[in-house]
Amino acid sequence: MTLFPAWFFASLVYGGIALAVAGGVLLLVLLARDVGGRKVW
Amino acid sequence: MTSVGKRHRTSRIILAGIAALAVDALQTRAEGPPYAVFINDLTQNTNEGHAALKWSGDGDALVYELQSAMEPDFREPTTEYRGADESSFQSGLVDGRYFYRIRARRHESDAWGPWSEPIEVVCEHHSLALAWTLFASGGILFLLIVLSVGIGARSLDRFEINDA
Amino acid sequence: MPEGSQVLSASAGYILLAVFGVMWISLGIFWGRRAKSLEGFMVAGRNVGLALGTATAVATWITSNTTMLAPQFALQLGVWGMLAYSTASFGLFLFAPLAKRIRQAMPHGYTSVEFIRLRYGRTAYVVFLIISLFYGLTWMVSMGMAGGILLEALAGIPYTHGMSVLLFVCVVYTLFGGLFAVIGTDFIQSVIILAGVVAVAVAILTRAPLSEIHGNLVSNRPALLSVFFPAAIIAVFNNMLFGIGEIFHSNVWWSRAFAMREGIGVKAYLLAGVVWLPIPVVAGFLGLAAPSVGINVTRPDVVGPLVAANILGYAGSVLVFIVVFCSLASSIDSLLAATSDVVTKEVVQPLFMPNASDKQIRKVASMVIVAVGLTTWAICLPKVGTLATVLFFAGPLVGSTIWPIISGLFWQRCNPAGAVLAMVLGSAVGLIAYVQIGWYTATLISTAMSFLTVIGTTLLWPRAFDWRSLAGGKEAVPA
Repeated sequence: MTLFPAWFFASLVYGGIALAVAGGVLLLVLLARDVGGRKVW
Repeated sequence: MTSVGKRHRTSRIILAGIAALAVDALQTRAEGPPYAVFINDLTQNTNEGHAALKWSGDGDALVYELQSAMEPDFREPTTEYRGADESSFQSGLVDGRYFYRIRARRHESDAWGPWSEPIEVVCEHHSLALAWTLFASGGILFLLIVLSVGIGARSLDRFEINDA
Repeated sequence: MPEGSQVLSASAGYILLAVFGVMWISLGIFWGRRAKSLEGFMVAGRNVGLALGTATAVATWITSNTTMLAPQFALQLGVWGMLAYSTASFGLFLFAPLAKRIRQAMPHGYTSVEFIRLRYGRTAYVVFLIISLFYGLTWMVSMGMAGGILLEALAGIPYTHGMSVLLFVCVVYTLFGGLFAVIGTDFIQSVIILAGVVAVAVAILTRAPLSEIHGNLVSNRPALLSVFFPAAIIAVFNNMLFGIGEIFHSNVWWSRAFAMREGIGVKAYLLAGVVWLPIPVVAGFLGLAAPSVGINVTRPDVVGPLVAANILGYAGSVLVFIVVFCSLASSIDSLLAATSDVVTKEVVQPLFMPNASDKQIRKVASMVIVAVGLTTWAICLPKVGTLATVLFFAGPLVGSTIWPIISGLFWQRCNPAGAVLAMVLGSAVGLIAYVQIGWYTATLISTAMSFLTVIGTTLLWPRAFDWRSLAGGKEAVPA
């Protein structure tokens, strides 16, 4: 039975965490930009 | 109190004492190693490689041991779990027959009770042929969706909707 | 009370519910100052920016399913299961061009049902309305029930209390703040959820290195790492098509397309897809790591909270509770608002007050929200166990709408009768497949049937259509 190797699993998990963090930061940055430009709503 | 009454009172006390000792002795015998049984069906089937095992024992706060093996005689058993929980979710099983049995004891230092009747989990995954067929069909539909949305969006970009 | 799942005391749970309830309702009242007009209430003034636009799409698509079911999925179907779940983000990606087109074509539009009515006519409107309301109501009820069940499993709060408080809070802040409140709270909720899921994942990695987790899976649960896990492979496109069908048809997503400022829609939905994509993977990782951190999984549906509480202790339990509350509220409020909009504009108004002013409709909208909330609550109350099955019936129903929607928006010659037939046939055949063959074929077969019907009828009998009638005869504003 072919199994996903450890490096693939690691990439998936680390990549997922990194992307989730980036996503959260992005949302906050976008909000700051919108608030600064007074274009939130 | 008359002397007869005194003798009756003494007998009653002695009887009460004997009764108490007897009850105590009986209780100790009842406090032997506990039984444990599965609540699941004797045989279970799964085509996704997982099974939720549930059990109980005759007593409170028992410590259980769950064992698994690939043979019904438990020749080479693996201890899956030891603790106070009364269920365990097994997953990631490959095709095959799995046997589980459970036993319990009252305290860490006590003797284990007898093993329960084993249950069997038969794991037979869906055929890969079916899986790939459904995957391919889904894939084609997905591609068609992507194409049509892409083409549609592209062609309408050039199309002005506000022509009078 | 299921053993082992309660991670928080009931009093702590009630306190958290009270705190967040009060906060959300206060925000609803605060933002409600902008929601006085109908346009403000239903489509947030059509001026939502990129930050909030993206966040609302992310938060709404994160349901309690994402945070609770994803770990279970991973524990049952392994790595492929996690990836299969992530494919639901494709619905967001694909909706991006649709969002642009929707805003272009209907600059004064309010709902998806309105579009179908204008595009395809009366019969289509009825069929689509039934599908929309069925989907909206069953999803709301399933979220309400999930909330009650989860709050009970996590904190011992009785089902009726938890479910009622959750629905009550959502109804109140949506009532006061309309889509402004929904979108605003969505932003806060999405950040909390992202932070929470990441915190638990990182905490797990400090306890057990990835190589150890991987090794543990290889020895004890090898199928979870299988590259060819049949049930998961089957799930990939079935899930994806279900997700696409949900997003394409539901007014939840259309109302956001109407709400976003011009030029924002495409970017917001694309970004939302990217932000949402890793969440099932990270949440799923929690499920896969459970055995490696010494947790005996008693029930797969609470493995996420079990792991969080185990790894982060009391703080983890509080975090889980908050994340679950946020993911439930962010979906319930959206469904409440979107479904009420449809009922108000497409049922109440045409039937009872066709000449009403926007102001009057605004008032009706409030009453409809309460009515929809009460109906949901009433259905949640008996805690019907077979609800999950009913929800899965939605798969073939929404799958059948994919092609009518795409064709309706982009294909001028699409045959309206064909579109109706596609929805009816697709749903019927899909439901039959569900019962006769299996859940994993239903959405697939429905979508395929719908596709063939739309293409066939349009190629044989094309029809002309004036796009301007979507804009109500008024000139559409170019993108």
